[in-house]
Amino acid sequence: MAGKFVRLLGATVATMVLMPACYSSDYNNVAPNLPGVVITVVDQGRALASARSFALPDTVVEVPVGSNTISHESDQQIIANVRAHMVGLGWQDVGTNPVAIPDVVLLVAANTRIQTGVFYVDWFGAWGYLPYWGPAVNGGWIWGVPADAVPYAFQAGTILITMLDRRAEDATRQSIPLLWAAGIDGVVTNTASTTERALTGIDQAFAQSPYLRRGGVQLP
Amino acid sequence: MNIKQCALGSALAASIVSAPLGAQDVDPPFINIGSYAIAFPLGDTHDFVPNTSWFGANWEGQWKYKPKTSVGVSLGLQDFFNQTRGTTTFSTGAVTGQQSRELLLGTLMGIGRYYPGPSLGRGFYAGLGAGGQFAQQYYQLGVTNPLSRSAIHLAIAPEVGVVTPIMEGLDAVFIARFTATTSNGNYLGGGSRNFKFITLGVGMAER
Repeated sequence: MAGKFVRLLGATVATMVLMPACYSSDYNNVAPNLPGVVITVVDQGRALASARSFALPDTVVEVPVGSNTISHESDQQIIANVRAHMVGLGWQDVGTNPVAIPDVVLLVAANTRIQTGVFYVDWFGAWGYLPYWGPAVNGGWIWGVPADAVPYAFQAGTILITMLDRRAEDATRQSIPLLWAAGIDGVVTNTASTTERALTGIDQAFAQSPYLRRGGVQLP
Repeated sequence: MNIKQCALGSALAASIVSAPLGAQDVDPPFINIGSYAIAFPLGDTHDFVPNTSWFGANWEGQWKYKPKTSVGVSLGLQDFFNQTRGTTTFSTGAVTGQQSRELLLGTLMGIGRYYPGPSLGRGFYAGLGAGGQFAQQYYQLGVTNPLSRSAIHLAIAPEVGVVTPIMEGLDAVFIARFTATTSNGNYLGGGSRNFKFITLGVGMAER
Protein backbone atom coordinates (compact mmCIF):
# COMPACT_ATOMS: atom_id res chain seq x y z
CA MET A 1 0.00 0.00 0.00
CA ALA A 2 2.89 2.33 0.77
CA GLY A 3 4.23 2.00 -2.78
CA LYS A 4 0.85 2.86 -4.26
CA PHE A 5 0.55 5.84 -2.00
CA VAL A 6 3.97 7.18 -2.98
CA ARG A 7 3.24 6.79 -6.72
CA LEU A 8 -0.14 8.46 -6.47
CA LEU A 9 1.14 11.25 -4.25
CA GLY A 10 4.02 11.83 -6.67
CA ALA A 11 1.63 12.23 -9.60
CA THR A 12 -0.50 14.61 -7.58
CA VAL A 13 2.44 16.79 -6.58
CA ALA A 14 3.70 16.90 -10.19
CA THR A 15 0.29 18.14 -11.29
CA MET A 16 0.31 20.84 -8.65
CA VAL A 17 3.74 22.06 -9.70
CA LEU A 18 2.74 22.33 -13.34
CA MET A 19 -0.58 24.06 -12.85
CA PRO A 20 0.58 27.62 -11.97
CA ALA A 21 1.34 28.08 -15.65
CA CYS A 22 -2.42 28.34 -16.14
CA TYR A 23 -2.70 31.55 -14.13
CA SER A 24 -3.61 34.67 -16.03
CA SER A 25 -3.12 38.29 -15.05
CA ASP A 26 -5.05 41.47 -15.64
CA TYR A 27 -2.72 44.30 -16.54
CA ASN A 28 -5.03 46.54 -18.51
CA ASN A 29 -6.70 48.64 -15.83
CA VAL A 30 -4.26 51.55 -15.63
CA ALA A 31 -2.02 53.61 -17.89
CA PRO A 32 1.03 51.66 -19.09
CA ASN A 33 3.42 54.48 -18.17
CA LEU A 34 2.13 54.68 -14.60
CA PRO A 35 4.87 54.44 -11.97
CA GLY A 36 5.06 51.32 -9.84
CA VAL A 37 2.65 52.19 -7.07
CA VAL A 38 0.42 55.16 -6.28
CA ILE A 39 -0.99 55.24 -2.75
CA THR A 40 -3.44 57.71 -1.32
CA VAL A 41 -4.40 57.95 2.33
CA VAL A 42 -7.39 59.92 3.54
CA ASP A 43 -9.18 60.91 6.72
CA GLN A 44 -12.72 61.26 5.42
CA GLY A 45 -14.06 63.17 8.38
CA ARG A 46 -15.78 66.52 8.71
CA ALA A 47 -12.49 68.40 8.55
CA LEU A 48 -11.84 67.32 4.98
CA ALA A 49 -15.46 67.72 3.95
CA SER A 50 -15.51 71.34 5.17
CA ALA A 51 -12.20 72.40 3.62
CA ARG A 52 -12.46 74.62 0.56
CA SER A 53 -9.23 76.57 0.13
CA PHE A 54 -5.59 75.60 -0.08
CA ALA A 55 -2.08 76.97 -0.12
CA LEU A 56 0.67 75.25 -2.05
CA PRO A 57 4.28 76.36 -1.43
CA ASP A 58 6.15 76.60 -4.71
CA THR A 59 8.86 74.13 -3.72
CA VAL A 60 9.57 70.42 -3.79
CA VAL A 61 11.73 69.73 -0.77
CA GLU A 62 13.99 66.75 -0.34
CA VAL A 63 13.79 64.58 2.73
CA PRO A 64 15.90 64.01 4.65
CA VAL A 65 17.08 67.59 4.69
CA GLY A 66 20.03 68.47 2.52
CA SER A 67 20.13 65.30 0.46
CA ASN A 68 20.59 67.17 -2.81
CA THR A 69 20.59 63.97 -4.82
CA ILE A 70 17.46 64.40 -6.90
CA SER A 71 16.99 66.32 -10.09
CA HIS A 72 14.64 69.25 -9.60
CA GLU A 73 14.05 69.92 -13.28
CA SER A 74 10.46 68.72 -12.94
CA ASP A 75 9.59 70.66 -9.80
CA GLN A 76 7.60 73.45 -11.41
CA GLN A 77 5.62 71.03 -13.56
CA ILE A 78 4.89 68.89 -10.54
CA ILE A 79 3.68 71.86 -8.50
CA ALA A 80 1.67 73.20 -11.41
CA ASN A 81 0.02 69.82 -11.92
CA VAL A 82 -0.97 69.52 -8.26
CA ARG A 83 -2.36 73.05 -8.31
CA ALA A 84 -4.27 72.41 -11.54
CA HIS A 85 -5.88 69.30 -10.09
CA MET A 86 -6.93 71.09 -6.90
CA VAL A 87 -8.39 74.05 -8.79
CA GLY A 88 -10.03 71.67 -11.24
CA LEU A 89 -11.68 69.87 -8.33
CA GLY A 90 -13.19 73.14 -7.16
CA TRP A 91 -10.73 74.24 -4.47
CA GLN A 92 -9.81 77.90 -4.03
CA ASP A 93 -6.11 78.65 -4.33
CA VAL A 94 -5.13 81.37 -1.84
CA GLY A 95 -1.77 81.79 -3.56
CA THR A 96 1.59 82.09 -1.86
CA ASN A 97 0.84 85.20 0.17
CA PRO A 98 2.12 84.41 3.69
CA VAL A 99 -0.79 86.21 5.29
CA ALA A 100 -3.34 84.14 3.41
CA ILE A 101 -5.56 81.90 5.54
CA PRO A 102 -6.19 78.64 3.70
CA ASP A 103 -8.13 75.72 5.12
CA VAL A 104 -5.41 73.26 4.16
CA VAL A 105 -1.76 73.41 3.21
CA LEU A 106 -0.36 71.11 0.55
CA LEU A 107 3.31 70.21 0.83
CA VAL A 108 5.21 68.37 -1.88
CA ALA A 109 8.37 66.48 -1.01
CA ALA A 110 10.65 63.99 -2.67
CA ASN A 111 12.38 61.46 -0.49
CA THR A 112 15.91 60.28 -1.13
CA ARG A 113 15.69 57.24 1.12
CA ILE A 114 13.33 54.34 1.62
CA GLN A 115 10.33 55.96 3.25
CA THR A 116 7.80 54.01 5.29
CA GLY A 117 4.40 55.65 5.11
CA VAL A 118 3.54 59.15 3.94
CA PHE A 119 4.56 60.77 7.20
CA TYR A 120 8.13 62.08 7.47
CA VAL A 121 9.37 63.03 10.90
CA ASP A 122 11.78 65.70 9.71
CA TRP A 123 9.07 67.71 7.98
CA PHE A 124 9.74 70.87 9.95
CA GLY A 125 13.47 70.69 9.31
CA ALA A 126 12.83 70.14 5.61
CA TRP A 127 10.40 73.01 5.26
CA GLY A 128 11.65 75.37 7.90
CA TYR A 129 9.18 77.80 9.38
CA LEU A 130 5.82 77.76 7.66
CA PRO A 131 3.70 80.86 8.30
CA TYR A 132 0.36 79.09 8.26
CA TRP A 133 0.42 77.85 11.87
CA GLY A 134 2.29 80.60 13.63
CA PRO A 135 5.45 80.45 15.76
CA ALA A 136 4.02 77.98 18.28
CA VAL A 137 4.50 75.15 15.81
CA ASN A 138 8.09 73.93 15.77
CA GLY A 139 10.17 70.85 15.05
CA GLY A 140 8.66 69.00 17.97
CA TRP A 141 5.30 68.83 16.27
CA ILE A 142 4.17 65.78 14.34
CA TRP A 143 1.44 64.98 11.86
CA GLY A 144 -1.66 63.14 12.97
CA VAL A 145 -2.10 60.44 10.33
CA PRO A 146 -5.40 58.61 9.73
CA ALA A 147 -5.82 55.52 11.87
CA ASP A 148 -5.81 52.01 10.38
CA ALA A 149 -3.61 52.89 7.43
CA VAL A 150 -1.00 50.18 6.78
CA PRO A 151 2.46 51.72 6.22
CA TYR A 152 4.07 51.04 2.85
CA ALA A 153 7.83 51.18 2.27
CA PHE A 154 8.26 53.64 -0.60
CA GLN A 155 11.39 53.53 -2.72
CA ALA A 156 13.81 56.40 -2.84
CA GLY A 157 12.65 59.01 -5.32
CA THR A 158 9.04 58.95 -4.17
CA ILE A 159 6.93 62.09 -4.40
CA LEU A 160 4.93 62.70 -1.23
CA ILE A 161 2.03 65.13 -1.40
CA THR A 162 0.56 65.86 2.01
CA MET A 163 -2.55 67.87 2.81
CA LEU A 164 -2.43 69.32 6.33
CA ASP A 165 -5.31 70.93 8.15
CA ARG A 166 -4.32 74.50 8.98
CA ARG A 167 -7.40 75.02 11.16
CA ALA A 168 -6.99 72.22 13.68
CA GLU A 169 -3.53 72.03 15.18
CA ASP A 170 -3.56 70.28 18.54
CA ALA A 171 -1.27 72.17 20.94
CA THR A 172 -1.65 69.54 23.65
CA ARG A 173 -0.44 66.71 21.45
CA GLN A 174 1.67 69.01 19.28
CA SER A 175 0.00 67.48 16.27
CA ILE A 176 -1.26 68.77 12.94
CA PRO A 177 -3.97 66.62 11.34
CA LEU A 178 -3.07 65.11 8.00
CA LEU A 179 -6.26 64.96 5.92
CA TRP A 180 -5.00 63.44 2.69
CA ALA A 181 -1.71 62.29 1.28
CA ALA A 182 -0.40 60.71 -1.86
CA GLY A 183 2.77 58.74 -2.44
CA ILE A 184 3.94 58.26 -6.02
CA ASP A 185 6.50 55.51 -5.69
CA GLY A 186 10.03 56.01 -6.94
CA VAL A 187 9.35 58.39 -9.84
CA VAL A 188 11.81 61.19 -9.15
CA THR A 189 15.11 60.07 -10.59
CA ASN A 190 17.62 61.53 -12.97
CA THR A 191 16.29 59.66 -15.97
CA ALA A 192 14.62 61.29 -18.95
CA SER A 193 11.18 59.91 -18.12
CA THR A 194 11.04 61.53 -14.68
CA THR A 195 8.60 64.29 -15.53
CA GLU A 196 6.17 62.13 -17.45
CA ARG A 197 6.16 59.43 -14.79
CA ALA A 198 5.72 61.93 -12.00
CA LEU A 199 2.86 63.76 -13.71
CA THR A 200 1.12 60.50 -14.62
CA GLY A 201 1.40 59.38 -11.02
CA ILE A 202 -0.02 62.65 -9.73
CA ASP A 203 -2.91 62.35 -12.18
CA GLN A 204 -3.62 58.88 -10.82
CA ALA A 205 -3.42 60.04 -7.19
CA PHE A 206 -6.17 62.60 -7.80
CA ALA A 207 -8.17 60.22 -9.97
CA GLN A 208 -8.40 57.72 -7.12
CA SER A 209 -9.42 60.43 -4.62
CA PRO A 210 -12.96 61.40 -5.68
CA TYR A 211 -13.74 62.76 -2.18
CA LEU A 212 -11.55 65.78 -2.96
CA ARG A 213 -14.08 67.11 -5.46
CA ARG A 214 -15.61 70.44 -4.51
CA GLY A 215 -17.85 70.95 -7.51
CA GLY A 216 -15.20 71.75 -10.09
CA VAL A 217 -14.36 69.88 -13.25
CA GLN A 218 -11.78 67.16 -12.69
CA LEU A 219 -8.89 67.13 -15.10
CA PRO A 220 -8.65 64.12 -17.41
CA MET B 1 -18.39 28.63 -23.14
CA ASN B 2 -16.39 29.92 -20.21
CA ILE B 3 -14.00 27.82 -18.16
CA LYS B 4 -16.47 27.16 -15.36
CA GLN B 5 -19.07 25.81 -17.77
CA CYS B 6 -16.41 23.72 -19.50
CA ALA B 7 -15.19 22.13 -16.27
CA LEU B 8 -18.68 21.49 -14.99
CA GLY B 9 -19.74 19.98 -18.30
CA SER B 10 -16.72 17.70 -18.38
CA ALA B 11 -17.39 16.33 -14.93
CA LEU B 12 -21.07 15.86 -15.70
CA ALA B 13 -20.34 14.07 -18.97
CA ALA B 14 -17.87 11.79 -17.25
CA SER B 15 -20.47 10.91 -14.68
CA ILE B 16 -23.08 10.06 -17.31
CA VAL B 17 -20.84 7.85 -19.41
CA SER B 18 -19.28 6.01 -16.50
CA ALA B 19 -19.22 2.27 -17.04
CA PRO B 20 -21.66 -0.04 -15.29
CA LEU B 21 -20.20 -2.00 -12.46
CA GLY B 22 -19.60 -5.71 -12.30
CA ALA B 23 -21.43 -7.49 -9.56
CA GLN B 24 -18.50 -9.85 -9.13
CA ASP B 25 -16.12 -7.11 -7.90
CA VAL B 26 -14.57 -7.80 -4.56
CA ASP B 27 -14.85 -4.96 -2.09
CA PRO B 28 -11.32 -3.71 -1.33
CA PRO B 29 -10.23 -3.13 2.28
CA PHE B 30 -8.49 0.11 1.30
CA ILE B 31 -8.83 2.60 -1.55
CA ASN B 32 -6.08 5.08 -2.32
CA ILE B 33 -7.29 8.19 -4.19
CA GLY B 34 -5.30 11.07 -5.64
CA SER B 35 -6.97 13.87 -7.55
CA TYR B 36 -6.34 17.19 -9.21
CA ALA B 37 -8.88 19.86 -8.32
CA ILE B 38 -10.04 23.20 -9.58
CA ALA B 39 -12.09 25.40 -7.28
CA PHE B 40 -14.55 28.24 -7.51
CA PRO B 41 -14.37 30.84 -4.74
CA LEU B 42 -17.47 31.83 -2.76
CA GLY B 43 -18.13 34.46 -0.10
CA ASP B 44 -15.02 35.80 1.61
CA THR B 45 -12.86 33.67 -0.65
CA HIS B 46 -14.35 35.39 -3.70
CA ASP B 47 -14.04 38.81 -2.08
CA PHE B 48 -10.31 38.35 -1.70
CA VAL B 49 -9.52 36.39 -4.86
CA PRO B 50 -12.32 36.26 -7.44
CA ASN B 51 -10.45 33.95 -9.80
CA THR B 52 -11.01 30.25 -10.30
CA SER B 53 -8.24 28.27 -8.66
CA TRP B 54 -6.43 25.96 -11.08
CA PHE B 55 -3.96 24.80 -8.49
CA GLY B 56 -5.35 22.15 -6.18
CA ALA B 57 -4.92 18.54 -5.23
CA ASN B 58 -6.33 16.01 -2.82
CA TRP B 59 -5.21 12.74 -1.40
CA GLU B 60 -7.68 10.42 0.27
CA GLY B 61 -7.47 7.08 1.97
CA GLN B 62 -10.71 5.15 2.33
CA TRP B 63 -11.28 2.05 4.39
CA LYS B 64 -14.26 -0.28 4.19
CA TYR B 65 -16.53 0.26 7.15
CA LYS B 66 -19.74 -1.49 6.11
CA PRO B 67 -20.79 -3.16 2.84
CA LYS B 68 -21.83 0.17 1.29
CA THR B 69 -19.95 2.59 3.49
CA SER B 70 -16.33 3.66 3.74
CA VAL B 71 -14.56 5.97 6.13
CA GLY B 72 -11.24 7.66 5.68
CA VAL B 73 -9.14 10.76 5.68
CA SER B 74 -8.74 13.51 3.12
CA LEU B 75 -5.81 15.85 2.77
CA GLY B 76 -6.41 18.75 0.37
CA LEU B 77 -4.59 21.82 -0.82
CA GLN B 78 -6.11 24.61 -2.90
CA ASP B 79 -4.40 27.79 -3.95
CA PHE B 80 -6.30 30.88 -5.11
CA PHE B 81 -4.17 33.51 -6.79
CA ASN B 82 -4.82 36.85 -8.40
CA GLN B 83 -2.51 39.49 -9.84
CA THR B 84 -3.78 42.84 -11.07
CA ARG B 85 -2.38 46.20 -11.98
CA GLY B 86 -5.40 48.25 -11.13
CA THR B 87 -6.79 50.35 -8.31
CA THR B 88 -8.07 48.99 -5.03
CA THR B 89 -10.05 51.30 -2.77
CA PHE B 90 -10.04 50.99 1.01
CA SER B 91 -11.79 52.97 3.74
CA THR B 92 -8.54 54.82 4.43
CA GLY B 93 -7.51 55.46 0.83
CA ALA B 94 -6.61 53.65 -2.34
CA VAL B 95 -3.67 51.97 -4.03
CA THR B 96 -2.85 51.65 -7.70
CA GLY B 97 -0.18 49.36 -9.01
CA GLN B 98 0.71 45.74 -9.27
CA GLN B 99 -1.01 43.78 -6.54
CA SER B 100 -0.71 40.08 -5.80
CA ARG B 101 -3.24 38.23 -3.70
CA GLU B 102 -2.95 34.62 -2.72
CA LEU B 103 -5.06 32.42 -0.52
CA LEU B 104 -3.69 29.02 0.36
CA LEU B 105 -6.24 26.67 1.89
CA GLY B 106 -5.22 23.34 3.32
CA THR B 107 -7.84 20.95 4.65
CA LEU B 108 -7.52 17.81 6.72
CA MET B 109 -10.80 15.99 7.20
CA GLY B 110 -12.30 12.72 8.13
CA ILE B 111 -14.70 11.57 5.43
CA GLY B 112 -17.51 9.06 5.32
CA ARG B 113 -18.96 7.89 2.01
CA TYR B 114 -22.01 5.90 1.03
CA TYR B 115 -21.99 3.90 -2.20
CA PRO B 116 -25.53 2.83 -3.17
CA GLY B 117 -24.23 0.56 -5.99
CA PRO B 118 -23.37 -3.11 -5.74
CA SER B 119 -19.61 -2.54 -5.20
CA LEU B 120 -17.94 -0.51 -2.48
CA GLY B 121 -15.79 2.23 -3.92
CA ARG B 122 -17.41 2.26 -7.35
CA GLY B 123 -20.32 4.04 -8.97
CA PHE B 124 -22.09 7.05 -7.55
CA TYR B 125 -21.44 8.05 -3.98
CA ALA B 126 -22.37 10.75 -1.51
CA GLY B 127 -20.15 11.74 1.35
CA LEU B 128 -19.53 14.15 4.15
CA GLY B 129 -16.24 15.38 5.49
CA ALA B 130 -15.47 17.24 8.70
CA GLY B 131 -12.19 18.51 10.06
CA GLY B 132 -10.00 21.56 9.94
CA GLN B 133 -8.80 24.09 7.43
CA PHE B 134 -5.59 26.09 7.57
CA ALA B 135 -5.91 29.34 5.64
CA GLN B 136 -3.03 31.62 4.76
CA GLN B 137 -3.76 34.97 3.18
CA TYR B 138 -1.03 36.86 1.34
CA TYR B 139 -1.00 40.32 -0.20
CA GLN B 140 1.80 42.19 -1.90
CA LEU B 141 1.75 45.68 -3.36
CA GLY B 142 4.49 46.55 -5.81
CA VAL B 143 7.74 44.81 -5.02
CA THR B 144 7.86 45.29 -1.27
CA ASN B 145 5.80 44.91 1.87
CA PRO B 146 4.31 41.43 1.59
CA LEU B 147 1.61 41.03 4.20
CA SER B 148 0.18 37.74 5.37
CA ARG B 149 -2.37 36.47 7.85
CA SER B 150 -3.36 32.97 8.75
CA ALA B 151 -5.77 31.06 10.95
CA ILE B 152 -7.26 27.63 11.48
CA HIS B 153 -10.96 27.01 10.90
CA LEU B 154 -13.34 24.15 11.44
CA ALA B 155 -14.53 22.82 8.10
CA ILE B 156 -17.37 20.71 6.81
CA ALA B 157 -17.61 19.42 3.25
CA PRO B 158 -20.57 17.61 1.69
CA GLU B 159 -19.67 15.94 -1.57
CA VAL B 160 -20.89 13.76 -4.40
CA GLY B 161 -18.88 11.83 -6.92
CA VAL B 162 -18.64 8.91 -9.24
CA VAL B 163 -15.99 6.21 -9.58
CA THR B 164 -15.65 4.20 -12.74
CA PRO B 165 -13.13 1.44 -13.57
CA ILE B 166 -10.67 2.15 -16.37
CA MET B 167 -8.25 -0.77 -15.97
CA GLU B 168 -7.36 -3.56 -13.61
CA GLY B 169 -6.93 -2.09 -10.15
CA LEU B 170 -7.28 1.49 -11.30
CA ASP B 171 -10.44 3.60 -11.35
CA ALA B 172 -11.21 7.12 -12.49
CA VAL B 173 -12.75 9.39 -9.89
CA PHE B 174 -14.84 12.53 -10.39
CA ILE B 175 -15.61 14.61 -7.31
CA ALA B 176 -17.73 17.68 -6.60
CA ARG B 177 -17.33 19.10 -3.11
CA PHE B 178 -18.53 22.14 -1.25
CA THR B 179 -16.25 23.23 1.59
CA ALA B 180 -17.58 25.59 4.24
CA THR B 181 -15.74 26.77 7.32
CA THR B 182 -16.36 28.55 10.57
CA SER B 183 -15.49 32.23 10.75
CA ASN B 184 -12.20 32.80 12.49
CA GLY B 185 -8.94 34.75 12.46
CA ASN B 186 -7.98 38.36 11.98
CA TYR B 187 -7.35 38.76 8.28
CA LEU B 188 -6.18 41.61 6.09
CA GLY B 189 -8.68 44.42 6.18
CA GLY B 190 -9.63 43.49 9.73
CA GLY B 191 -11.89 40.89 11.27
CA SER B 192 -12.59 37.22 10.83
CA ARG B 193 -13.36 35.40 7.58
CA ASN B 194 -14.78 32.09 6.44
CA PHE B 195 -13.36 30.75 3.23
CA LYS B 196 -15.88 28.76 1.23
CA PHE B 197 -15.34 27.20 -2.15
CA ILE B 198 -16.62 24.54 -4.51
CA THR B 199 -14.17 21.98 -5.79
CA LEU B 200 -14.35 19.88 -8.93
CA GLY B 201 -11.79 17.13 -8.98
CA VAL B 202 -10.67 14.38 -11.27
CA GLY B 203 -8.30 11.69 -10.21
CA MET B 204 -7.38 8.06 -9.90
CA ALA B 205 -8.19 5.43 -7.32
CA GLU B 206 -6.13 2.35 -6.61
CA ARG B 207 -7.89 -0.59 -4.99
